[in-house]
Amino acid sequence: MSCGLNFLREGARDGKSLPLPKSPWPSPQKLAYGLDFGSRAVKLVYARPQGGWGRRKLDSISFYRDYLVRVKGEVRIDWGRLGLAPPEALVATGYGKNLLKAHFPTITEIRAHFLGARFVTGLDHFILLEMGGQDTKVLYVRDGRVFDFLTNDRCAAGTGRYLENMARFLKMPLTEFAGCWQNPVDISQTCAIFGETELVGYLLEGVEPARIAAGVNASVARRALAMRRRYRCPTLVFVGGVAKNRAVVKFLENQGNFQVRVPPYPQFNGALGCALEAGRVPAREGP
Amino acid sequence: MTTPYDEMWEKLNLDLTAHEGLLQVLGKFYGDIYLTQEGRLKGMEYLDFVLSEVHGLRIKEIQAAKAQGRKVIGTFCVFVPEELVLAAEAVCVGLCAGAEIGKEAAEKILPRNTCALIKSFVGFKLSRLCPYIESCDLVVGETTCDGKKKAYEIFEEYAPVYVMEIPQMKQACDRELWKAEVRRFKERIEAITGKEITAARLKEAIKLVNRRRRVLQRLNRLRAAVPTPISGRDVLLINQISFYDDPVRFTAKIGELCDELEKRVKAGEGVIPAETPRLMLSGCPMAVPNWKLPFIVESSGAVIVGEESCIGARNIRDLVDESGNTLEEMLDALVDRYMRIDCACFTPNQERLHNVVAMAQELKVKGVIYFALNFCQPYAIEAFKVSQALEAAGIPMLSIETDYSMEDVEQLKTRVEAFLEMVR
Repeated sequence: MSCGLNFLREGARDGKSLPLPKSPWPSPQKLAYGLDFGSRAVKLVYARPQGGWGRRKLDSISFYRDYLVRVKGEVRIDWGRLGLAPPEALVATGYGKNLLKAHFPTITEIRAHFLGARFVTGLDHFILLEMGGQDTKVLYVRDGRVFDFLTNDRCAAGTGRYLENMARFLKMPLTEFAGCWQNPVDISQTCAIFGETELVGYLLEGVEPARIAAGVNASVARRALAMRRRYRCPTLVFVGGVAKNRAVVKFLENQGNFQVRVPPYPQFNGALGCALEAGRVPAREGP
Repeated sequence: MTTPYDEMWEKLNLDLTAHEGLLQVLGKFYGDIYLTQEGRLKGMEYLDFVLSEVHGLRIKEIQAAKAQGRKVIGTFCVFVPEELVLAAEAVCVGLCAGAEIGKEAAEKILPRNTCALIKSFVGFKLSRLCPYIESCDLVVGETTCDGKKKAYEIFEEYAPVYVMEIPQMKQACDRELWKAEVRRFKERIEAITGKEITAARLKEAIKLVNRRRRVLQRLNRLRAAVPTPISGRDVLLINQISFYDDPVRFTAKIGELCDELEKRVKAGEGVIPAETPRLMLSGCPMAVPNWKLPFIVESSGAVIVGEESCIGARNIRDLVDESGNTLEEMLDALVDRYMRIDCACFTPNQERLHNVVAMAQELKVKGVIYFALNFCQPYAIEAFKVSQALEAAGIPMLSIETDYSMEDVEQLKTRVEAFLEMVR
């Protein structure tokens, strides 16, 4: 059942440094932070004063509620409360990035994930699949540049949020759900609403929940594969919260015609990309 | 709120309450997208004025023309030879179909997966919101796509519709078909206006429409300068307004605007810094008030310097040959000019691929944003061939499919910004 990624289970909150592979990129020279405001979680990757990188993940709602303060109508981050020194440079991405636009440079999620994935893999030629809380992106990286990309538009079917909903519906912890890949039932829907109806059908037939969960995971992988099919490339780098789902990884690997690489801490990939960008760009006046 | 036009709108059978709502939304939308721009040309004040009076003064003029016995002909497509309408002393208005407001009404009679443009004109009529449609003595449709073709059959129950058949290929027999259609249209216009289209009148009309095309060509040449002296949004608006403003006045006003632009270009003044990435739009027409994508692009740090679309270059690229003197010669000139249109309804459509690439190269753009309305098969499918042609020329393309709703603005913004990061 394991595909070798179990060591990635959330141990992230203690601020351990990321075990990054050797890379031509220099260690950060300054306190460079990267912040990824996702729909489900806010991820922070920060250069530590003593060297190396630390990371934090917070639920989006509690981050907005507890760690953002309004000073004279302006939104600021409460670094003291996070237990961190204020950054010398910070770059933000994700749907909430505009909140901080006045204080910090922002980059798109596309660029953030590209930078993060390129850094951790050291590759110049790969397909990057990013599956987050409410969207899926496929980037085609060629010669060390983003050559093309696809994103889902209005519908968030088959994303992290869908997996969360289905796990809750089956009353299964997400980590257990994410390990189900054997004997998948055939799930045709990746819609969070209609998907439930399909699940009810299988439950009524007496199919065991693990097989249903496996079917859901397979359906998510299938949807991602449909987006990636456009590009020909033997390496697929898989990041975003959904990359922690071992079953989805397994289904992608079973396609056989490409190699799947999941870097350590895939959920922090966008924040890492921002931190790298922050290390590069001159610091702007920030709170 | 009462306006001096209420009585006129009531006579036109508009839904006054809903119409007031439409004007308010439009006013706010226009304010946000247009009036917030910096360094606009003085000449744009005319366009601001025309747009603020889009359902007021212009309709009043049209009503006055009707009172003098002139007919009003509404069109939806650049294939309809406006010259014949003007030669019969009728007023020609390009009906706008760029708002979402009548969508619910339209979906009562059309499938939901119909393109936004079709739903918009049907919706405007069903919800009694467009004083132009209500002023029309004839609405001219065409068979450019299956959606329009079948929608006109239904629309006929609500408005006086006439449909022209547009050929789908460009062989000799297709030209024959189109010539027969142009003749049939001429007869219909003569019948409805009671005026004979003489050689002298047609010659004047050809010159008039050519003059308008020429001034818009001049505008496009001037805006091609680096740095560009005018925003893409403003040029789109000018093109949109060209469809319903009085052609003589419009040509004069845009001529003045071009003089102003010329000075700017000579002084090397841009509306944005010279290093701003230049992009071009290609694809479906953006009818008033569909300013969504241009606004997203230009508020993401790029500038649009060309529109390869019916509301843009496709409508003004070719002139009608003015050398003909007999009616027959002039009809042939019209037929030839309109057959050069490189609409995605043609197969094959190699001309368009060539034109898109040439335009992108001439305008020195960093990339092309391809815009297809959801469910617009001709343009959505042709996107692939266009992307191949552009790729061969080393020009990146971002393909976007969307409609008039605002719900995907943030996602579109992310994609446009990422595209800019790529091409910069």
